[in-house]
Amino acid sequence: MKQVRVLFEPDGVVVEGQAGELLLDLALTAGLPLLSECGGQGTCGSCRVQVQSGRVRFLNRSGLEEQIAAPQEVLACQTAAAGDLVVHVPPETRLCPPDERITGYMGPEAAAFLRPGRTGFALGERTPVQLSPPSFDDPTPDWERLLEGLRQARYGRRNITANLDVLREIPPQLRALDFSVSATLVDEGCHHRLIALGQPEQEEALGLAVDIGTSNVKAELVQLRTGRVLAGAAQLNAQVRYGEDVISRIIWAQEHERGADELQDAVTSTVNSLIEELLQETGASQDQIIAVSCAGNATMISFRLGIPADAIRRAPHIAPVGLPPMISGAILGLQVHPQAAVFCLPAINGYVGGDITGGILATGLFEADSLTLLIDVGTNGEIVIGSKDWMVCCSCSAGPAFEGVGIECGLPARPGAIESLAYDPDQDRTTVRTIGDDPPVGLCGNGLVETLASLLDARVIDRVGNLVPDFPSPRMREANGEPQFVLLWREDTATAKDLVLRQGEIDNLLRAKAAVFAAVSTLLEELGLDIAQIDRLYLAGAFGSHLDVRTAVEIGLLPDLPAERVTVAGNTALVGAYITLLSSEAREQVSSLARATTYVDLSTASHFMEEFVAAQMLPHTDLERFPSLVSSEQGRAGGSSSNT
Amino acid sequence: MELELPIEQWSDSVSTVVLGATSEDGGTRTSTVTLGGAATLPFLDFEGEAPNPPVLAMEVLDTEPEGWPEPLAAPFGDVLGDPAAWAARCVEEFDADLICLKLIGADPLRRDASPDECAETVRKVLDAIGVPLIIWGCGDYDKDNEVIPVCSQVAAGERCLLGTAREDNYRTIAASALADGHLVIGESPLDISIQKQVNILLTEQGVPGDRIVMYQVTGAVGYGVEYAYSILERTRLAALTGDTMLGMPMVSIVGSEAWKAKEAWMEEPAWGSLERRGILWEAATAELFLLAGTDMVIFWHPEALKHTRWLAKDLSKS
Amino acid sequence: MALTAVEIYKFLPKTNCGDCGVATCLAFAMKLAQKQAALDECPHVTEEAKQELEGSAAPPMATVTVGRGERELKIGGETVLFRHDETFHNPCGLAVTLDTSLPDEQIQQRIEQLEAARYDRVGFMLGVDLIALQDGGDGRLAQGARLAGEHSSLPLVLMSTDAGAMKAALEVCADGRPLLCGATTDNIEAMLPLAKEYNCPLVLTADSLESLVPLSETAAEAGSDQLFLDTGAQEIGRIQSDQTIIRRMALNKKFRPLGFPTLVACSAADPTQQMLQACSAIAKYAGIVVVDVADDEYLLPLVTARMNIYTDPQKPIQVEPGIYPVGEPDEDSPVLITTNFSLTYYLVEGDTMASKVPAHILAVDTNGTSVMTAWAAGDLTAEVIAEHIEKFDIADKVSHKTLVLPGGVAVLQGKLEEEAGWEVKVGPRESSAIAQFFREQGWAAK
Repeated sequence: MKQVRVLFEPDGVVVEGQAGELLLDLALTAGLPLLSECGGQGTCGSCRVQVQSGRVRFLNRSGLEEQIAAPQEVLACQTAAAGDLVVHVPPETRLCPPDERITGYMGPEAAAFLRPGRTGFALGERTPVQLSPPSFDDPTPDWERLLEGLRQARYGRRNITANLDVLREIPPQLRALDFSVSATLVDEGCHHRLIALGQPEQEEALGLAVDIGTSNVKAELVQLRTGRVLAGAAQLNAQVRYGEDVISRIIWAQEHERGADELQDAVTSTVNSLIEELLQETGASQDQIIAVSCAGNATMISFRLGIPADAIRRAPHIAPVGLPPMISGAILGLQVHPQAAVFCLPAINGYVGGDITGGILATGLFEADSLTLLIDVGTNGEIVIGSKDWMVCCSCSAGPAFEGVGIECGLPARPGAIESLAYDPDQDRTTVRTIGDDPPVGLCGNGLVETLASLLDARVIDRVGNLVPDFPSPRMREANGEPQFVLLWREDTATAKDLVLRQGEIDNLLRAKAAVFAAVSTLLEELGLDIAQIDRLYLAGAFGSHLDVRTAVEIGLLPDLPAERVTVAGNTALVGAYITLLSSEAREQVSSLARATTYVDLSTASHFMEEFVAAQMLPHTDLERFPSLVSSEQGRAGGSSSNT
Repeated sequence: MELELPIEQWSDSVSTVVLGATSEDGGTRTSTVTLGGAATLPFLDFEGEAPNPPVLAMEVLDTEPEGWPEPLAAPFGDVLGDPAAWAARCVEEFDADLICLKLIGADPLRRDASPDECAETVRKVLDAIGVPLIIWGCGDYDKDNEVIPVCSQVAAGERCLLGTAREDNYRTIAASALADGHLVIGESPLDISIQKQVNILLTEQGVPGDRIVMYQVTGAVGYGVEYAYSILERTRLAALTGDTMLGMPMVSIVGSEAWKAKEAWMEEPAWGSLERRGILWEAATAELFLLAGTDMVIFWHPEALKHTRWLAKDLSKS
Repeated sequence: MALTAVEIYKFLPKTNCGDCGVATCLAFAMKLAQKQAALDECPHVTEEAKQELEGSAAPPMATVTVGRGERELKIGGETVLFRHDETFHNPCGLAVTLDTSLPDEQIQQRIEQLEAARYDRVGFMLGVDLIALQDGGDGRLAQGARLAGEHSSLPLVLMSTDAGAMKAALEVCADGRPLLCGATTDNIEAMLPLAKEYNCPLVLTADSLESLVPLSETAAEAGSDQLFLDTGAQEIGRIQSDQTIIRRMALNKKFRPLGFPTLVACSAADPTQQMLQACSAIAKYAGIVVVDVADDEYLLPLVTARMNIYTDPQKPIQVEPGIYPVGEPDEDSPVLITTNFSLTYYLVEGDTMASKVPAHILAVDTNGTSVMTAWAAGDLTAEVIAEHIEKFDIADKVSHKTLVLPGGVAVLQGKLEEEAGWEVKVGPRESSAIAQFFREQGWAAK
């Protein structure tokens, strides 16, 4: 078979495949699942892409091969590669619009779950059923008649159950609708549950993928039939007022009457407010949401479900529930269909939760052939190392600095957030780039990384992050006894206030990056591995995909790996929630990978504290661990370490 | 039978640091002290060279010590209130290689002595001795930043050792040392990474490696000596394996540390002679640090120094 | 080179069956790599894997038992040259000599003195481990052994080169598994059978490292593996070299003839110098140190240094939970709360002592974790502190009702006041600020 290379634009992803492979499949391999409402029959036209150049073969034109000269629209399910290609994928064809503020990277292994015909069952589905009315010859009862119809239509030998209130509706509904109905079922793992019966041409069934982060909650509204993402939204977790990290919240919950209830209410209100926002944007109704998939750390999931989370903070730090049984939406106070199924991605441990199993699923780490490292920087940092053979994980308390929490000028990634910042000491001038090119409001994770690197380069801070008191600029000043540096003067900001970075905030950023680096180093050491053996690194969490990997290495947030081995993966937790919303195979996969992943408790790993201290320098105390920086630094350092 | 000795091939050695400047070098010291230079783990001369024997210093306080136990105070007679006379006695009678003057009186929580007063003490002590001098601040960052520059100036050209520089106050001390031709002690709280960080910061501030001496907060036998012991061992190993940012000589304080231990001073018949106990405690502590790799030990009790001098000789025999 | 967890994993069944008691095969491999588990805990491991993983795992240094019963000593079995690489496992034994040519009465006195040399250190008893009976060549070694057996349960070292005297003494005390010290080039042919007959460990003594090797080979041919090595070094420099060479030959070169613990007999005439000899041998790398000095002021630093050097650097060391006086506190003195992590406790103790304000320190049992770690893990709570206040009768020690809480856990203040019924002041976050805190609060130095 002839090898072909396909470049997908505007993502710039190149995949290799064989001549004869469908563009629909090649796009999946590239991690770009396309809409395919008819399941690849070539009838719906939803998988329309533009071939810019190259040679293709058209299935629906009796296998005609054609050299594309001018850009041409084709159906991805009916077009195969016949040579190297350049293909443009328009946003409306994509299952997941590339909204990097909310969601993240999906590896080909994960996208494969969405391949037409492979998904198994979505968490919730609406299926049209055409039944023959009863007769003396066919006296099957209504319920069994409906079951038989469902089995023939879609569910084969699956067990199907229903609540009494739905059962009561069946006889009148069947007759009212002339035995032609649409049945709404949710997949509860061991069986399906019929939750509603309606007209065949009912509205689309929707699902909600949610990432409940300690600091930020993000959600996407998804069309369950097609997988299409209709809208996404993000909000600060209302629990933040009870403490910045999970430990303080667990303690708070314990020490206040109704504390746990209050925390549960807080996160419920955040999710409901996101739902409202999404419904408003799409014009859909609450009852349309029949399935919810939640990724979140074990504490967030416990709070969400109202389960006491105290076990998490006490050794051996287990999660109260790994994989919660399916729960219906109404019980949890969510503004969705009252019997909507709520699936929570499983936790590995009290400190490594469903956000991480979601990340393992999304990046495809569980099927990787070579050693892969997943770093998720949120309020906690979680690390996974492994491949298809084995997986190990750990967590560290990084603090929410890179999420913009606890940093006055910090901001989640949203319009007006500074993504890129460079300070020029000669001109005493700062140049910034913001999301949406809006006037600058504050700094998001990417911006904070670049700021640290730029201030270090300009010698505004020294290598332990101390602001240099005699730095010759009016930007260096003190307030309330604490040194601070003015990044932007008030006339250049949207807030009409000086944008400053305080010493304590720099210290927090250093601690956060040191905790992450130390966790990676310690885990590698426990396994007896060297960082150079890592073939691929996914950085998930607080950083947007524009993060400059070299800059992240320069400040020692990431280990010194060549940039081409690093993927800035964004919110892989939400991608995990999204995939499990759509695929029962993925739900089974995520449960088994959670059981197979080994948790390492860093508090029992003797070297973690040492690694942590050593990492509290920019980039690191041991420069030998950053060979690429040392070689690029030579000649620039000005004889700084040449005494022997 | 011939044993093939298991010799480690080290790639580097501890850097050599010279304290004190004689008239030839623009100072007024009558002798100098050379620290470091070892190309082997401590006292393994089958393996490599250690050209400079351990340096034994004595500590002098700028403020008359209160509540010193009798066995400790006795040898000094009436000089404890006079830093210059105290220093002179340490050199002339007690065989100290150099003097460490601790300016504890500058501490705002003690006498809050002014920078000028401290500088005056430094000048008097320098006049009273010919050996090199260590000028050690009171430990209060802000106050040390005021005191050390003034003291540094009155000692300009003497190649003194100024201490201590930590992550938060290294700039002032480094600048003084560079301006007045002194050396710097980089201090860290029993942490090898922080020690290295301080050294890197000092180096980036322009202090060359042969002008830095490392000090790890020490502790004594029974009081955390094992932490310091392992940190010193690891630091020496790092130096020998080529980590130049940990390749400087090390100094350990044993006098004030050992005498903090209640075993050194507390009346307790079951522990044996109170006369001897403090001395033995100090000597044992010094020995452990030397075995772990320190290059200079700072004593309180002259007899502990005397025994350590014997030890250093005995250690060179094999 | 030890295998890494990932290398070990390759030989395991990879089924994650959990039959070994650990959730996954990789977790089990990690435990094996850290020597926290044994391969036979996995019921499904293949023969091939066993060979691969255990084949080269014979310990490079023998572990030798001296004495029997409660006070027996396991010595040797060390695996590293530097304690920071793992830990030193079996503390060096401290033996003090007893001259058996002395009259019975004096022998008895000396035994009583050695038995009494025991020192309490925050909950641990330290002391002399062995009595070394020195044969004066007058046929009284056996009598010494008899008296030692009557008045002490300490294990014995029989120091004689006379096989006849040794045999006579063994007739008396062989049940206690004494250490025979020992065999030289001249008497090894007589000593080896004795050691074998009475099943006792034996010291090989030579005047140099080189001449030890053939002795050890002779012993090996006779099937002895319960051996100690003694190079006779007295100069501390030579003690250091000899001990280091033996340890390196054993561990790095797997040189069997030197794969045994060592014995260093210190005999400097000046007691301080002898203590320094012994202290150097304890640090590097003696299995047993023999000294003549028996006065407490010499033994105390030795046993304390020994405890320090043999402390596991990977484990947080703890002090016994309880209330400790600093200075000479009275009923008006402040009560400081801290945890029983020894580093935390000693920092607080040191800084309190330096403040010259007498005080009581309450070391709360947090399983040896620091204040902030204990708080995060729920081990340092208002309830736990209140229990300690009750348990250690703090109310009887002071006439006031004020506690000082570490600044890092200021959040516990309200709850603690409620739980304990004491007024709670929030102290500094760092112990170095204790002196200043006392001054601000009006607690005076004494």
